[in-house]
Amino acid sequence: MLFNSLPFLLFFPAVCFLYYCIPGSWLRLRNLFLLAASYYFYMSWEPAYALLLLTSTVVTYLSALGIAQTTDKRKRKVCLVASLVINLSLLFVFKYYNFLASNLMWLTDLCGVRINIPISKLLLPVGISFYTFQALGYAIDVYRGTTKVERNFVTYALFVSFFPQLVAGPIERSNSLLPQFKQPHPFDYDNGMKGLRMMVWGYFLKLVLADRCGDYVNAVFNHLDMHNGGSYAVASLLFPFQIYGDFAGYSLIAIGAARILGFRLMQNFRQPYLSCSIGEFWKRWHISLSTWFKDYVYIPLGGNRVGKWRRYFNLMVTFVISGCWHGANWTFLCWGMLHGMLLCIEKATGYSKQAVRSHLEMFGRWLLTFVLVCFAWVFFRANTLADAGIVLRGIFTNLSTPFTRVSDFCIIGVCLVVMLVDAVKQERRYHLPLNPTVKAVLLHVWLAMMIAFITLFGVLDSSQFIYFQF
Amino acid sequence: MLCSILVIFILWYAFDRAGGAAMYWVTWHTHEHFSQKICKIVGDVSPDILLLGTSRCENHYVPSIIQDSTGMSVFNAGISASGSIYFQYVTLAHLLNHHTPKVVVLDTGESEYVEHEGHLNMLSFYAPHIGRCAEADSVFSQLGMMGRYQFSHLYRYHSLSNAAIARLFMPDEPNDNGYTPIACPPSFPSTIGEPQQPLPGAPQMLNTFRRFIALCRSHNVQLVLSISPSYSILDEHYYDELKAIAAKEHLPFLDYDTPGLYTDHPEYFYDNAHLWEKGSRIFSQRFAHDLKLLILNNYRTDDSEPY
Repeated sequence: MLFNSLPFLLFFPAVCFLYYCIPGSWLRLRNLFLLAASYYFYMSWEPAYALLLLTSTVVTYLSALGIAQTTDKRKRKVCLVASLVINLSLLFVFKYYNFLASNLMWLTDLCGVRINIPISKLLLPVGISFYTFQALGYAIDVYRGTTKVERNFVTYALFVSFFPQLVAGPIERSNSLLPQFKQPHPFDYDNGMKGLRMMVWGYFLKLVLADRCGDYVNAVFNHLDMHNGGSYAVASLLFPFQIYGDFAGYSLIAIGAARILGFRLMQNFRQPYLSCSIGEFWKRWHISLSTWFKDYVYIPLGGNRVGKWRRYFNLMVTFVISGCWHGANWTFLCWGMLHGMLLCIEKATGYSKQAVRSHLEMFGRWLLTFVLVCFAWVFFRANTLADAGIVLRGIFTNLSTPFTRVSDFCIIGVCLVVMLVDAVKQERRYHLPLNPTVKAVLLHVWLAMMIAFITLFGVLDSSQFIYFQF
Repeated sequence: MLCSILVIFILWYAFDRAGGAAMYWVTWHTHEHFSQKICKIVGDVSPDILLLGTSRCENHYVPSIIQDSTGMSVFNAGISASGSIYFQYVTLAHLLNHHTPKVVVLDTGESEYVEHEGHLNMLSFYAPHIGRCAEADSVFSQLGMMGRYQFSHLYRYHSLSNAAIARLFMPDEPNDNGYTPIACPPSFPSTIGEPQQPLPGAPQMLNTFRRFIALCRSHNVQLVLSISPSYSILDEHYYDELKAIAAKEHLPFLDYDTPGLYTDHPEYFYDNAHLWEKGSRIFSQRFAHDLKLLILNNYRTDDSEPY
């Protein structure tokens, strides 16, 4: 059930209505209801994969109980390692096995020894990387003692499978989300309106901005032989907005949906394309994942507390894993490595710590960061490394008139202006000095206008969210 | 909260109806290719010969050549990627709503009788004109698409909204009564299309084809079926299903595809399925001649004739 599909637009109001029909004092029943709704939501893709979600939940639940029940360091470690091994094995089997098998076969072929490794026909379960990481984060937190063990299975299972953020995040932390399942959450008008506003803005980003950009980007990247360097350049410039609209849109719908139900999820994006350095970009892009990697990979590796070279090594390892997390393809690995390298260069030169002396310098820094991020996105979007090579070579050697569709560019232009206005408004924390009644009226009019705008200009064919494949 | 949602819904409804009315005006005044052509079909053109089909109709049949040969006015109502008999039915119904042509030529193909999601998307091009023709609206109802268009008037325009608005103030693209020529390709197709096996038509779509024939008959319009050439080899039974229906209904069937007309002339083709302008002009002369013969013979085809 996609957020941008009719079934979800019927499912979500029904869940909200029934959820608030259950009195807040009947917390267990409310949680049980949300858990059932979340599993129904997940099973609408492929019922069998709910078993996988359940396995991950049971394994981390039991291992956390095991960790909490003993003070013996060795036993605690065994419980944690067991949880890590089982969860990462599931992830490996479903996500990385075929990639590894095909690369091994290619490598042995090169050596002249052909070995046949069977290829798995299992489909990648939606959101497996997200809920696995969320569950693992909990187990590690219990092991570190930074979060209390959750003994109520329903509450814990709901933490792993809470439907707004189940399939594409934000990857929540146990000490932030788990306590919220123990609060009654009476209906709150402000929360409802804020949630609704976020959802509408999320739909706008996905259906209008991302999917309109996607039309052009897919037409070019999926048929490189039919296009020239000019089209490659335009597609490479539009893809950053497509992926931002797609993923930030999803996150906003998720955060908004949770907010309507009374839950607060973490912010996942903070105008990433306004960044003036790669380091800043990673503080603004997919915040829940980058902080997850920082807390559970980079810092345990030694973080910044080690020597210069070891620090660069830690950064590279973290970004290579981040690339792999996004998908089993060399393109994602290259994308991760590129970001790792750029961050190392920034750290080595002290670029991000240098004071900015003028607006012109700030603009230069912003432009350089944006170009570098766009350059790296080419690897992320290209179907193969060879395709990425063709695109980059085309941009630099064959920059002729691009394939254009005036109509699409008009709508994308409008979206970008709206996004820029919103980004500047958020960044400056600017609020119109209006009285609450006028504000409320304007909010209602704005929401109605946005929905009408989406009805007219949105791509309403229930297209997939890019991050679902991760 | 419920009150707020109700207020938002009422406001949205007002925007939807006002926006719908504005978009209706845009649809009739835009220079966007599809919107303009559909508006012509819905309320403007009154040809003696109406050509219907997909891009293979739009790019292959040159009205001026057929007009010169037959002495009858011709309009090419072919629309790229429209590829389904539903679309052709809606087109015909809209035209018959204000004008009765003498002859309708349906350039058809097996793929137009196979169900796929794209058919419904293309049909939405006619959504702005819902309410003008009951016969055309019946197809939307049959396919379960009517509800969404009645609920939202803005949604009727979402397929072509941005293109229609963007081309509102742009000049018209020149065309010859609906015909759109394809420019000479950088290279001609090098390999002939693989031999293809016939596709079984979906019962619902074949039924719509029969309704299409009945609609022509009820308005005393002579229907001619035609299949224009492609650069591919086909199984000789490829069009048997359509030919059987045509034979049963005593309809003339001009098949230029199965015999492989022009397969020795790759220089006429843009790709395996489309003739470029030169090829389409040569083909149109051949077609115009055959159609003229057919009209002179009172639409009787002789089996020995090499159609």
